[in-house]
Amino acid sequence: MDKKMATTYTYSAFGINISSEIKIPEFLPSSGDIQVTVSYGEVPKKLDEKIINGFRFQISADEFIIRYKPWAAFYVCNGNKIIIQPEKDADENDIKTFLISSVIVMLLHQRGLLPLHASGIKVDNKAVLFAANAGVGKSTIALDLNRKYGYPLIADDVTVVSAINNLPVVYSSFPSAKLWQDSIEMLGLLNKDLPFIRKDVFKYRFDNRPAFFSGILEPLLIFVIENGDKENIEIQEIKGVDKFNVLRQHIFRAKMINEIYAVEHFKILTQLLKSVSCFKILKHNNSNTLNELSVTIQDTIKQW
Amino acid sequence: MKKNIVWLASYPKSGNTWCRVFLANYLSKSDEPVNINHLNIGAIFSSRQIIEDNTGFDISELTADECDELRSFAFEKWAENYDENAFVKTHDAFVTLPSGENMFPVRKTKAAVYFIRNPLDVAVSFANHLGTDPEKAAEKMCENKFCLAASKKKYNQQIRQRLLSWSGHVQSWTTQNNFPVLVVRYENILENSEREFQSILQFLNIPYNSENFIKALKYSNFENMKKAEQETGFKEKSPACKTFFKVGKSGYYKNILSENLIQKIINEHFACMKKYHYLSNSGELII
Repeated sequence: MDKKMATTYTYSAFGINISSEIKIPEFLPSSGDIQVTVSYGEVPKKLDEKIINGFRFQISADEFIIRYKPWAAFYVCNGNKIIIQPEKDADENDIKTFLISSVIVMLLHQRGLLPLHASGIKVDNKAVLFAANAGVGKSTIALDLNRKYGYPLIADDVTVVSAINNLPVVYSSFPSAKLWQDSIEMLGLLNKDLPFIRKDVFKYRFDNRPAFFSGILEPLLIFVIENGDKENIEIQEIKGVDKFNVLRQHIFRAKMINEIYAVEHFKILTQLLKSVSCFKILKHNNSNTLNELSVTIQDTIKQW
Repeated sequence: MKKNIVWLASYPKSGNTWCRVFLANYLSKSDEPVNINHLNIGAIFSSRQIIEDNTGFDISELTADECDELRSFAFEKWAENYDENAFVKTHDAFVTLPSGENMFPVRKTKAAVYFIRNPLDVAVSFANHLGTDPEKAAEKMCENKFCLAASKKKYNQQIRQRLLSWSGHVQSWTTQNNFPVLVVRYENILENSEREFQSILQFLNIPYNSENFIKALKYSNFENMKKAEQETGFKEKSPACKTFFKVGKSGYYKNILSENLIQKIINEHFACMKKYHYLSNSGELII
């Protein structure tokens, strides 16, 4: 692509202003000082000083290459640059889907931030997060709490935590959720016009712009949600070293990056855990689980 | 290069889980029966978590074909955690990727145990598994491109599994030459589980210990597995069926399948049924 001819768009997501040659309608527009550029170009064949050589990806402290065959290769470096090398006839929507999840998260890691696999809502100007593994219902619970109690949404899948002057802060991500059909049904949403995140991938993209809060918040509570095997929802506060160990498991793409950013993560996690309370919720899979979960979480928030 | 992956392969409902329960108990150091929900014996080849953990990819963003491309790498890496036999259960047929590359990590594979069962009984049990009637189950067993698809509606712990037809499945595993395969008939385990499980241990060069063996035979007895499921449920049970361990008999199809359906299944799978002694040389049903 001719660089001089390329149109650029400017966005804000995860507390970062981004200039991009690829259109990302899921992100919010921005006019602030650019900290990150996303452009088309040539991706290096390999990294010279790689620390991890994974399946179609390589990582060093400041660089990351990943190849999504047959769509595109991505190069992320120094926490401020993403280069995309599309394959012939690549679908731009596919490229964008990979860009706004795993690829941009590697940039967040490079910037010394802590991306958690968590959704989030804003409660009285503070952030309440829901950390969980894929499929447990992070997006669904955040959307349900928004619809039932009016809490603005701050993140769907990835929530970024940082520390400013030794105090933890949470940055909102972007106003778009990825939902399975059953979540759409549980939430009573209409999926008639919702697009799939990619062709032949049966997950919908849901724009939640009207319910979204964009900004920086102080963290208040973190709920770690897991599937349990009991009839009722169980909730218990996590304390001490368990809090650290449980949250560490929810660092986004932790398996991919191994311990490369362990020092940065440790610093932020330590600050975060001094300030927030953390609860583990074991949910069941009965049909009323979403309603019970929302009520349980709302009761805990109100008591706090 | 360490070759330690052992495939426990079968079309569904053919004795695979039975053998896994036996092996889990045999290899366990405990005197108590191994919990059927925590068999702790290797992995399942369609496990989303193992693929994600060992590649770093979020596979909910990938198509079923793209997921298949990750499986070989993921399971090679996963198997590095094991010194000896890394058991992997699979219902996938032994197929290659559209690119022609192996979907299975053959260069790290030690061997496979392939479980085969009379397709007439499979049709009955598979119908229960799918929550459908035997006619529909039999139809699926005849589809050359049949897949156990991951749900399109909700998150699923398992990814799509390509089964092919019943005959296609059997042939894919038993005629490949990448690694040794021991074929074990379900009916032979029913008839003499001691002999069959011993032959599996021998084939895999697993040292024999009579105390462990007796204990494992007892704990993997069909009635005991059925009782365990009644008490604790079984997480590998399909949501569509009520119980996983249901009948566990040979020839049970005679009470369920119509003559027409029996003939249809025989016609479709004649060669394979004959080869594995479910039909005599003259084409008569043996079981």
